[in-house]
Amino acid sequence: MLIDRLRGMFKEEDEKLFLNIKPSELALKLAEKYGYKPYIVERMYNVLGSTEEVVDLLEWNEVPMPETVRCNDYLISCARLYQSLSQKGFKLSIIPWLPHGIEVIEAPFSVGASHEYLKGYYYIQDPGSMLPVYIMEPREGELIVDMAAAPGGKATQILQLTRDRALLVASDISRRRMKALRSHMQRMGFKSYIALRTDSRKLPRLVGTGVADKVLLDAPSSGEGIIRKDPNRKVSRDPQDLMEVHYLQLSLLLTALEIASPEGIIVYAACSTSPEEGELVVDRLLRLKGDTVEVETTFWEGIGSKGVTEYMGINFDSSVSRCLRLWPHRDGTEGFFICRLRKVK
Amino acid sequence: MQAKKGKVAVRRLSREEAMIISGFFRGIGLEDPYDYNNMVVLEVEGGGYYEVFYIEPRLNRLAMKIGALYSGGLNIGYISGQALIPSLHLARDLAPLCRTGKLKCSILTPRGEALFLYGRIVYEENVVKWVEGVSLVVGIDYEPLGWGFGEEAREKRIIRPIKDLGWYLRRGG
Repeated sequence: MLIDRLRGMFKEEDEKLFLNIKPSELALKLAEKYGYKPYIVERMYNVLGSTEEVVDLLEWNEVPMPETVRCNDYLISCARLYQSLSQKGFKLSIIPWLPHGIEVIEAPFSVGASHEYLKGYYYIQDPGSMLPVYIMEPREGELIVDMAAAPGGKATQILQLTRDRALLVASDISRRRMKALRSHMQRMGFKSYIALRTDSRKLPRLVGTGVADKVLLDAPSSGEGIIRKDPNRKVSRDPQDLMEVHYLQLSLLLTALEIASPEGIIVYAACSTSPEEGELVVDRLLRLKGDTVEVETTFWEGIGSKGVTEYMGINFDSSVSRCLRLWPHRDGTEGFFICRLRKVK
Repeated sequence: MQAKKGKVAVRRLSREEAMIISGFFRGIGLEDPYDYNNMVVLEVEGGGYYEVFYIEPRLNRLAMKIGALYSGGLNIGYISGQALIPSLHLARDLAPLCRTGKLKCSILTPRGEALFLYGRIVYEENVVKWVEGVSLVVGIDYEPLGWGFGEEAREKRIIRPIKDLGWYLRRGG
């Protein structure tokens, strides 16, 4: 299996750096205070560098995420949706750095139970989660593969931005989440897609290699970026689990590279602040396939920080600094890693 | 429908299935609005029904090459016995035709809309335009609400929901 081969290739590095993390006294204290596994806090230190910023992040992770929606301007203008929900008693605020993002400050009833929702006028989606598709810049007529597509937030966004004129192949392994994807596609009025329920690593055999103009991989993750939504993530993973996720992400990203056409764009994203799921995945991709892929500058006006290039004593390829990180304490979002890559051969 | 356990096969539409669908469209006032050559059927093992999708040609070719599909394109509905049960997706796609008068559409008041979306029968005082038999049900803004059946009951005209958008919520997402 590809994952086993990859694990074998990087075994020494993993054991030395990522599997045996010794937390400092301070990390142990903060971990106890905020209810984390100590190795997570120690890694925060390693990335952020200062106690003040680590505490800031830990404090922000205690603040629940506000509910946010993406208006579906394929069916309704954002202004009309805003007005319609406001008339029903919703208190809303436009998210200034997102073209379709609206924050729900107060809701008289569940935001997923309004008639506007049933009519497909919006999708409930976290703000950071909306960014990868904008960064991908989908265009009409392009063949786009969304590799971990369910429940459909980004898949519907791709068709929204292309006015339902891209050719989308949406794939995911989960039956339950695929049911949701299908429902969202239909509710929001999109038709230009096919959905496949499969392990996305089988996609080269199914759709072919070198065929996709763009590939989106919002990879399964440890969820370290969504502690604000799910505090259980503070304790639910060990370093071994994290590295298992890392290898799944790396193998999926290698698959994305296979599917992409020459000059094709791949957007890799993970809802995590962990470098093992961000820069390390991209760095290892470059170590394995550096002659066929390059990192493009991943930038979004008004939000985000550069990718880190040093972690646990290892220097990543300098181009990973072109990737984008969202931090809860700096950006007010969930934690996210996004990287736009181009296949060069 | 669909998304049940069991093997799912994708295949082209048969002539008999095309006739069932064509019959449904004629019943609501339309003459074959979609090309039957681009329709595929998902046949769920043991499911007892056949789900029909209209998929644009390039994606359709890809789906047939792969030989597997979870869903895709426009969900027309499912065939059960000799009838097509139309989908909410189809209602969304056809709703703009309600303005043209070419399609059988019932129009509800805002109060009627709320009742309909709760899966309730809508009585004539909440109906702006009533049509007998199967029709696409829209609000006064012509936004689709689902499919309904117009009939007379106790000397009152009613719209009985066949499938309404509230189904998305009642089904649980």
